[in-house]
Amino acid sequence: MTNASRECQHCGTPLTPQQENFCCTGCENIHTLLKEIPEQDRHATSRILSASDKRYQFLDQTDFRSLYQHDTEGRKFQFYIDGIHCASCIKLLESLPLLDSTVSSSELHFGENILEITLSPQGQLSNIASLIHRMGYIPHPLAKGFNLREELKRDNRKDLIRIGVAAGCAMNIMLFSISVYAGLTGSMGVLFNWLQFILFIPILLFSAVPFYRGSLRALRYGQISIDLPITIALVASSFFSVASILQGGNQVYFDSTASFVLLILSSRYLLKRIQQKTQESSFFSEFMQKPGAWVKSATGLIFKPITSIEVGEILTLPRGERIPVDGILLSPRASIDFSVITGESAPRTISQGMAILAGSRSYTDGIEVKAEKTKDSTQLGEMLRTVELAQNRKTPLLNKADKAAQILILVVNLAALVFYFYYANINKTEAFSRALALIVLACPCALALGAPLALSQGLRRALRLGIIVKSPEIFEKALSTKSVAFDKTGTLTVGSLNLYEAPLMSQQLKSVLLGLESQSQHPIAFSLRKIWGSLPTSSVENLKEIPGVGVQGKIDGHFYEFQSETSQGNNLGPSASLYRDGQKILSLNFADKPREEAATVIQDLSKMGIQSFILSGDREAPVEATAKKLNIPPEHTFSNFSPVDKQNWLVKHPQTIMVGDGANDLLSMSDSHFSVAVRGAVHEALKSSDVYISADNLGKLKDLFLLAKETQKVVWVNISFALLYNFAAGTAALMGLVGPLGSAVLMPLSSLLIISNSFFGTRKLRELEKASQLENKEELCLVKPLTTGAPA
Amino acid sequence: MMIPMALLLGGGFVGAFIWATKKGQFDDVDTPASRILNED
Repeated sequence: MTNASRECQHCGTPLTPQQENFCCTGCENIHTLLKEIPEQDRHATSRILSASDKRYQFLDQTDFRSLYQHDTEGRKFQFYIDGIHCASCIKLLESLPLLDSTVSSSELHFGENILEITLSPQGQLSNIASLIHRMGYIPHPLAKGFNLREELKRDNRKDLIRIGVAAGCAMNIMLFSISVYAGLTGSMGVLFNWLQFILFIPILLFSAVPFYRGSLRALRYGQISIDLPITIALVASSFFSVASILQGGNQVYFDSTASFVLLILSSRYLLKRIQQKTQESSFFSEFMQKPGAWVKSATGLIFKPITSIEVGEILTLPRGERIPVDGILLSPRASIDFSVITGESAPRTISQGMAILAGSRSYTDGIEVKAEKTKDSTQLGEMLRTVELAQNRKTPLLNKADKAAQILILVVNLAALVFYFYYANINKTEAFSRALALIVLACPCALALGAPLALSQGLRRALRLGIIVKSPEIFEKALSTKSVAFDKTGTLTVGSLNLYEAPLMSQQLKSVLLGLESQSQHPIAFSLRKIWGSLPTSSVENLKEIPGVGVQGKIDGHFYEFQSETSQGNNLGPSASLYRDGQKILSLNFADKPREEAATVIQDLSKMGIQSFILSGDREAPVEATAKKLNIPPEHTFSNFSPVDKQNWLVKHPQTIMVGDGANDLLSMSDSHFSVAVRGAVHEALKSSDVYISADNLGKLKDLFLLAKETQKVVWVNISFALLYNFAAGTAALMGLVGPLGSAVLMPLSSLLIISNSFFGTRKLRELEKASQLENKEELCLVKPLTTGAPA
Repeated sequence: MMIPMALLLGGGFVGAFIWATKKGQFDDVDTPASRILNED
């Protein structure tokens, strides 16, 4: 086959030799879906989809529809989409109108994971939700009352307009001021000065409003904010300038004051956007309206939102869905994935009367659970609330900087006042001018801005590296970290099962296994489907899955059973055997292998003087095998650890960070120095941990430490510069070396220095970023191709 | 003569900026950048 003739089957882009049929996973997914849904059915995907998936049908009930519609005609809807990774997702989700003609438009907001769709009048919302679900995402409809995003948007727009006006006016003021500086005098000079004043009015009355508000708000609580000296400087300098013009003088500071307002507004806006960006996804999920659950009532099953489920009600839960309550099992048996709570990879089989915790997932379809605790009072809910509270703390360093800035404002204003009265006896105008110069110059912006700006730039850098850091405090904590405790499954290991030392098998046997496991949600089934995805699947009669035991069914007249071997697992993972008509014909071993980068990371960490530990809920053999491969000494390896054990261990070992599976290890994560999640849904992971590594690459952990170290350097450079500047400039102002004009120029310059220092960072930071950019190019497509076959 | 013209021009740009912002031009500056990666 020549390369020239090969083209992407969906879009026709020429393919590279490595690509098989499609240029990207986005194309592959769309193509698969288009093939599944015949052309004539695209106006009514309902027939195909709803039959297999009733999960979203509640969306078509009139009550729900009116709750979720975002316009008056009931055509605009929003979904919060779980599982968006990269640019391909945009393409896939925005091609909804192509896949279903009842969708007239579809737009994705990448950073916020929000999809906006417009339906045609006959369109059914449930179909679209099912379709999105089939694409491999989880859609959560957002209710109409959910106006947070709109409010943020309005706020941001207002800020932008303030900046725009300030910029426009400042530039024009400069045009006129240049002529005056160049020596323009006489009536023209006076006119130009007045023009500057007119152009300054919008800044004074519109752009600078946040400063007035800020100072008033602080004053009301008996505090001095950084806005106060800015306000004083603004009002005083404009007053001084107007007075100067009236006296026919040339002491006009509109240009420097205007650019100073512009600079501060811009840097604040930047800061705010960065903060919004890092918080948006976790913030939003808090307000997200998850679809509810089916609850038994006198009139049959009714669908209830999670928030209105009450204690004592009986829930019927489909396979694969998260259980929304703490409760007890009413069905005889069920296979439950407790990984959120215990961190264990394999599902546990429990029987009637046993406890089920919120957040776990059922592998058995249609189990019945009686609710004992709901919402915030569930174990999971309580944990999440604690984490939420922890999020609002300010970092110790920021507090110090804030306090220092406050003191500085007070000192400067007092000093200026004292100086004025003292010097007024000698020269009144000179006294005023020097006092004003001091206030303008010794603006504590540099001090107050320096630390948060450097830190938020650090957060942003982390984001670019694929690391989401919840609070800047983490950078401070990372520096004092002594050891790292890793969870095993999914953290140090890949997290999915692989065939290990597989015996030779005929293709027919493989097809039999695929047939038996075709409906199963067990990790073994997933791994087999993954390995032999291209092979045919035998059709099975009387296919049955017995939770916790295995699957069985009849193929070509033979009775097959595929059962897990609980007694003699290999030392890396579970084993399972295939029986034909009661006779064992084959045994398969499955193992979870360590991540490729794990060994290097542990080595790098030890070079930084950080020790590594393994805390795992798994059995001894697989944990020790992993530790051995990664060169972690046995005395640093702990198996059979329950979440409480982990928590106790971490309490005894301060300055240890916990690296885990995001949703798992919730309990231990809150007690560690800080915690890092390496996988799981972003918003869920961020609720429980402080750092989320989105690239699914443990190597980023090293980057995080490096980033913290370098960011701290930038912070200290900023703060020491600010202190030095304030001291030197204050002295110069009082000695009359710098006039108000000079100080108005110097002040924004000092802020600018701090801003650019924060932006450019250190050489190491720039190198780190460059390296990750190269990496990102290779990792552009993170979406996994769809597995065909109907969802549960 | 030049002065009012300069002011008008400047004002015009500020006006255009305000209009664009209100229209939501700057609400989402990240998605379009990624969207361009998918040429159809």
